[in-house]
Amino acid sequence: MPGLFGLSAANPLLLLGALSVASPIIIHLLARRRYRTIYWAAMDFLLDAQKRNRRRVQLEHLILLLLRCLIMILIALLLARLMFTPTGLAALALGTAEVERIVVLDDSPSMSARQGPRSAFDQAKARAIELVDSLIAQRGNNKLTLMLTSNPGRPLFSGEILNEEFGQRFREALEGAGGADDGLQPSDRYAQWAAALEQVRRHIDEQDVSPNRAVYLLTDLREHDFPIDEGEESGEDSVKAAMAALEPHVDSILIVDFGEQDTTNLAITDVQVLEKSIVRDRPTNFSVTVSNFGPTDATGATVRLVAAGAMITRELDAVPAGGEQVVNIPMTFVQTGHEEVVVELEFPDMMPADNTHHLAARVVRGVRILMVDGGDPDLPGAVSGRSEVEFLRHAVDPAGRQRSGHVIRVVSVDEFESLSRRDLQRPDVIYLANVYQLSESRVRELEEYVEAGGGLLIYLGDKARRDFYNDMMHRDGEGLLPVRLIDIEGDPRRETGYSAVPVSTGHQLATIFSPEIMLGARLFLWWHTEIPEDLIDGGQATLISRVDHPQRSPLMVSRNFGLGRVLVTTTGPRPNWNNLINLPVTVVALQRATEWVTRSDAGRGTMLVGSRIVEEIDLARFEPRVRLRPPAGDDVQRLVTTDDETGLTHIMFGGAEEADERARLSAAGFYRLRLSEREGGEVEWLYATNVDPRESDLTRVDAGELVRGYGVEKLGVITGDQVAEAAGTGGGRRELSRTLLTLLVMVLAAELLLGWWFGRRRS
Amino acid sequence: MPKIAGQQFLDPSIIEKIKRMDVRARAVVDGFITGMHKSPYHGFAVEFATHREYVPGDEIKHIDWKVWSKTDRLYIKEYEEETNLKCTIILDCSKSMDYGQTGRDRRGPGKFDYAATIAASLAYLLQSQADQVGLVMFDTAIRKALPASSNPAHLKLILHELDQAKPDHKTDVGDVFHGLAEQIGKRGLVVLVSDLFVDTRTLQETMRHFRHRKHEMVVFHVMHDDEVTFPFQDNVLFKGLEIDMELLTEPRALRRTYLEAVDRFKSQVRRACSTSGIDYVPLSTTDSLDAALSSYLAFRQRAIRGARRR
Repeated sequence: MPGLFGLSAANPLLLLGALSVASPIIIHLLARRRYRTIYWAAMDFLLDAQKRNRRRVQLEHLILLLLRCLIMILIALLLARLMFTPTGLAALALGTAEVERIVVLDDSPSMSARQGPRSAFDQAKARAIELVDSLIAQRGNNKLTLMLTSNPGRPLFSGEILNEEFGQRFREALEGAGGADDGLQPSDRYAQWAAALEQVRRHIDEQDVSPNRAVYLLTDLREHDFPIDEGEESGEDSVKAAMAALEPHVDSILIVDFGEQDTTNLAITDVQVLEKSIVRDRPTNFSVTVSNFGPTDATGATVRLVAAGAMITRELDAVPAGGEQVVNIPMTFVQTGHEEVVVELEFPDMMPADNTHHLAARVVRGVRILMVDGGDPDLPGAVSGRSEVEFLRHAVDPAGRQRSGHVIRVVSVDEFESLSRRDLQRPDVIYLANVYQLSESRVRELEEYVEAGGGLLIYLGDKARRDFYNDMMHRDGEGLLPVRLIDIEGDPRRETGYSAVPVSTGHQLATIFSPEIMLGARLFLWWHTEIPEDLIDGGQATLISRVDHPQRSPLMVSRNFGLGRVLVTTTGPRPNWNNLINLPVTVVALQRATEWVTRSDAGRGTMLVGSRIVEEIDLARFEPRVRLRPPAGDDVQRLVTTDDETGLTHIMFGGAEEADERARLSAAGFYRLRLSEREGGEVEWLYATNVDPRESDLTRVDAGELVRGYGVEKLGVITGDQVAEAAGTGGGRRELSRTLLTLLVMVLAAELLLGWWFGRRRS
Repeated sequence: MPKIAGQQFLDPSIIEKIKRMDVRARAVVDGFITGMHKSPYHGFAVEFATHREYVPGDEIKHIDWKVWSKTDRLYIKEYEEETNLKCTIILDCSKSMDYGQTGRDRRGPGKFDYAATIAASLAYLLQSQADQVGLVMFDTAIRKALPASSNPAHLKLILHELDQAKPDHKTDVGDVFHGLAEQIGKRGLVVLVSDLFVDTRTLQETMRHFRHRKHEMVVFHVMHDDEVTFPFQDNVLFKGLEIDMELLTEPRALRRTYLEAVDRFKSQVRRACSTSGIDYVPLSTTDSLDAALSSYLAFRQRAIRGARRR
């Protein structure tokens, strides 16, 4: 705001520096206090000289003092960056001042929404061109910067001087050379306005040339993009805070509204795989969520799932306004490997960008199960000379035409101990069946495995060494095992059998232990154990069932450990311990228990646009150079990097620091990471990116409420028609730095010259 | 003795390091004499006194050739000097002469030190020539008065008094000089060594009085180098040595005008001396001491020539 006589300062606080005008006076007064005393004989001559000189010396001192005070004032004004807004005759005499216009164009997917023939983005582009044309026609001293919300750090144009040639380039960049569709298109990235405004501020800091800046935000003004009450947690990262931070640096912030009043939009907001793994030859269920962001119910929508050369279509019932509809689509894959799954929504709505969802499916041969066999087939109680693992193996992967979807590998304890760390991370589930004990390092690696999402099933038996399980596995509730072993209980003679009872009825596995299903089940021996109360209270462990015995010993206990799960059964599948192996329901129970602990990786590789791909690469197997193939455009080659601290080798694409535009994962679609194996051959990993579902909600924010809510004085909301009109009013301030600097140099020179002249006259 | 070795004793900054006044006076005079081509050590009477060995600088005409023909050695005939010069050295001991004597910014000899050295050197030279020399020290009154005498013991007394003297009190030339002019009965040479910080009119009158009494007069106007060049830079509070006044000022601003005032004063004094037929020798404390002695000898030569003409 111009102050007195049209003067204002960019750094008003530094105007306080003008108080330093007192410094020459203070120095003068201080200097007068510092003197030496001389006893002088020729006082008469001195007094005579003083009498003759007094006036002249005083005048000289006064002139020099005034000049020095003026120097201090000029320095303060220079630092405060004094501005002058010419008005009236001054404006006529001085003409127009330099103005920089910073245009931030919202190129998020929501801008592709269209009601008529042209999308909001098309309209915004046209208005931006109009703005530039009108500024060129004004023949003022104008500059223009154009940023996109998808990548504000790299402006399309930065501080370009407006002239005919620039106008042509600008038009071509936005509309394409031939006026066809090869111009600027909306991106698939969510509009992060806080980051964009912060970037505008940084751009201003870097440029710091023009005193007059007008910022235009060309957007559809959605509620999601400009939240008024963002809550405390957003803090300084909020749009409101970013706008407040930007305000002191600019003359005006104009939001140009291109949003449509009609917000009818149907979108696929989520696709989930209900199974934990997509297994070959077994049906996989895709759960598709279709949301209706419009004000009215939507009917007649169709969902199509296209994968592996097959297409399945489902008609949707009416999707309620503001609600959603979930539809399950089963599909069976016949080949292992990576499959592109595309789910499409067919519905005539405003925004087609969110009607497609991509999913990277990893079809596996089966769930990889590693069974560690701790039992001894020669011991009494083994199943016909077989260990427990033999029973478990057949129960989990029964013979027959119907595939279980499980790939089982059985190892002895010694073999398990000698497995490499990398091999240990590979299985989806690990069974520890009646294992005597494990080494400390292996237990620690097992903990890492479960923490990272792996599943662990523990069957206790006669070989289990109590001290090992208590000290290493349970670790007072800190370890993998949720129970502390006390002693083996029951009736070794098998005369008295006990039944199992469910405890936590809410648990998925509790139903296995209902009396109807467990009819006839008899437990003769079990490990009497106890669960620390804080594990139960803290929700880390759940007692699923117990033995129907006065000691109320736990039978099956689950525990969440990191991202993975642990399930422990206190009795083993041995005839002398129980009769469970004779019951058909045991097979079902084992299948379900296995499914429950299995690591989920069906959704792995599917992410939002703008996310990151980070993979650990085994350089023993792969070449260090990898290639990423984006949905469109050339491959991006990159070398595997080694982390100095951990020594891990990994590759990363995307993220805030990504310099390569193709690797920013900005486009929705499929990305393929290609790795060359050292022994020849190539491996390909698939990733899918999707538009942020928040883009689908076209609900608009009220302009008046926005201006009031943000409390930013220089903020205004205009329509596209008013852009060119507003262009004529931006800025007009002139920075007086050059004038002040010239004045300062002149005053300094005058001070030096007069000082020398006065000194010369005296000597 | 090499010429330069003697001349270095004419440098005030070197001579001030000699504490005893008699040694100092001898050093100055010897240094001065060594530099001359003509020895001043002889009288101009005609009554033979004794022979002495020739030394370089003695005039060849005084060599006794008869003695040379007999002994093959050069001897100078010396005569009993007929002293007809009576010199009174008047030394200003007022407070204003105290400038530069002490203090951390002291540069070179003090004003009084310099003036006393001149007085001592003159007394020594005069005594060497067997002239009568007396000393008067004054400020507002005559503090010490030693009548003129050619007795060597008298020189010692003079030098002792000069050693002991300390400047004090104001200067008051008027009454003191009029009294002195009357006191010095026989006409003779009056040497005034002072900074002359008195009223020039009073000074002129007193000098006329001396002339009226037929005294020849030489004025050694001694000023400290600081008083002549005014070299001060930073702010200074000047306090009067003789008058009770203070002036806090920036010396650079006053320098030019001050020096003009000093020049004006010196011109007035010079004019006053010239009109009274008095030799005026302006001296700064950085000036070589031979200037004073040369002026005196020049004056003496003139006096001798005048006496011969008479």
